[in-house]
Amino acid sequence: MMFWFNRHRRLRDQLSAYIDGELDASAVERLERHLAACGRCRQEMEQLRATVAALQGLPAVDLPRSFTLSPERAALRPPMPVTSPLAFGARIAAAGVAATLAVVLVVDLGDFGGNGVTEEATAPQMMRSNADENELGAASGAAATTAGEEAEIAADDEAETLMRDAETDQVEEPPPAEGGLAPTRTLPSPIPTVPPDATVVPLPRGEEPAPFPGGLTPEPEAGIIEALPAAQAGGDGGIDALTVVEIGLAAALAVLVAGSLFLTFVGRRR
Amino acid sequence: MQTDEVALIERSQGGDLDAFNSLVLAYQGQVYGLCLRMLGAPQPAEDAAQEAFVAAYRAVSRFRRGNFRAWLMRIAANACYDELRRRRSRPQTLLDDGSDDEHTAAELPASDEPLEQRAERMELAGRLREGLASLPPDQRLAVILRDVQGFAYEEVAEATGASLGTVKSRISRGRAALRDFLLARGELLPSRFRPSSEGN
Repeated sequence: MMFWFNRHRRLRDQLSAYIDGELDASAVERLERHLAACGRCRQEMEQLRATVAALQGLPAVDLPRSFTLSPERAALRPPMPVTSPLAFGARIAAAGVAATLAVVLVVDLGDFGGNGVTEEATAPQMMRSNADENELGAASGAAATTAGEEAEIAADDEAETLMRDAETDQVEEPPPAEGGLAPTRTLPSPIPTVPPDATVVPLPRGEEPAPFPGGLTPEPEAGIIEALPAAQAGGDGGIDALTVVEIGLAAALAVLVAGSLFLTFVGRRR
Repeated sequence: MQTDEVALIERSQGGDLDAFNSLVLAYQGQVYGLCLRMLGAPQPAEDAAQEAFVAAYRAVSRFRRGNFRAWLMRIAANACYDELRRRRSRPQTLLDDGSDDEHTAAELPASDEPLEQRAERMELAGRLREGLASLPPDQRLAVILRDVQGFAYEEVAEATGASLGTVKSRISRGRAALRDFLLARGELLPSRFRPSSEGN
């Protein structure tokens, strides 16, 4: 049944070409066999023929005037394409918007909050997250060092503690744990930290110094120092380079939108 | 293509405006007819036809061997598509702009036929015009070129820039849609052509 119906539909679609004699001999033979057996297709063919006859019977239209060209008209500057002003403006604007968005996205995503007003507000959190990262790094790294390095780390801890103390009015910290220095002031982490007085584990081969114990590596300084200028820049009302770039892009976007609006206006006046 | 036409084309390509105007006189009825049936109203059709001839004059130097009528109709069809795009950007109801009567009168010149027959023919012409306007532009163009203007399938393909298979499909679908449109209005086709619930 389904096969017959599909065949019926396929042959019915050929009725128009059949009326015009545009089918090849084998297709004509197939269709005529089907027409002999299918009353609905015969009726449709007659309806199509009547429609074609009605169209062919339409009288020729009266010309409202002659369309011959005068020398003046023939010499006129070619008219602008109908859609060109609007289409051109829209394309320029769309391209500008796309390019601007792409650049802003790349800059912002690539930077991950490295500067600006937003970063100013989040600077303390960044500091804390840096500390978390350091803890993670230490926890996952080897736990061997030398006594001299431990002393250096202690000094770094002091510095970091001072830095964080400066932010205590902005960040509410949990109370310090017993005997804890900097690591004990970090946010709770799902990965346990190594206490500052952890036992020194010798290197398996004793060749390379491993990361510092106590959840600290030299990177915390970098993280804190990175975060501070951002906060200071925001606080001083200064503008860094990326902000300038973003402002420039916004201005370019505004110019493009204004240009497209102007072109649209000009296009409509023509 | 007739020898005269070839000579006129060659002279037009050399910048002879009179020769080109001879071609205009030969084809302006078909060009305007196409524009009128594509756009459904006299004034836009007039503008599109004039635009098409100006564009053809400027492009005639690039015309190489082929079917000049199909080439000209392609330019006219493009002018109509431009107007349809313009209309989409500034929606308006052309049938309500007071040009309907003018269009019908232009379509049906005065004749000596009986009044009743003339009224019936006018009504059919109006329905056909509505039906054509209801078709998608590509199908409308193919049906007009084939059934109203009498182009061969190959010529329709050349004028529309579509393949032969696409042209066949557009004509078939356009005719079927137009038939359904007319049948839905009932009174235009003889009763034996009206749909029935009878199967096969």
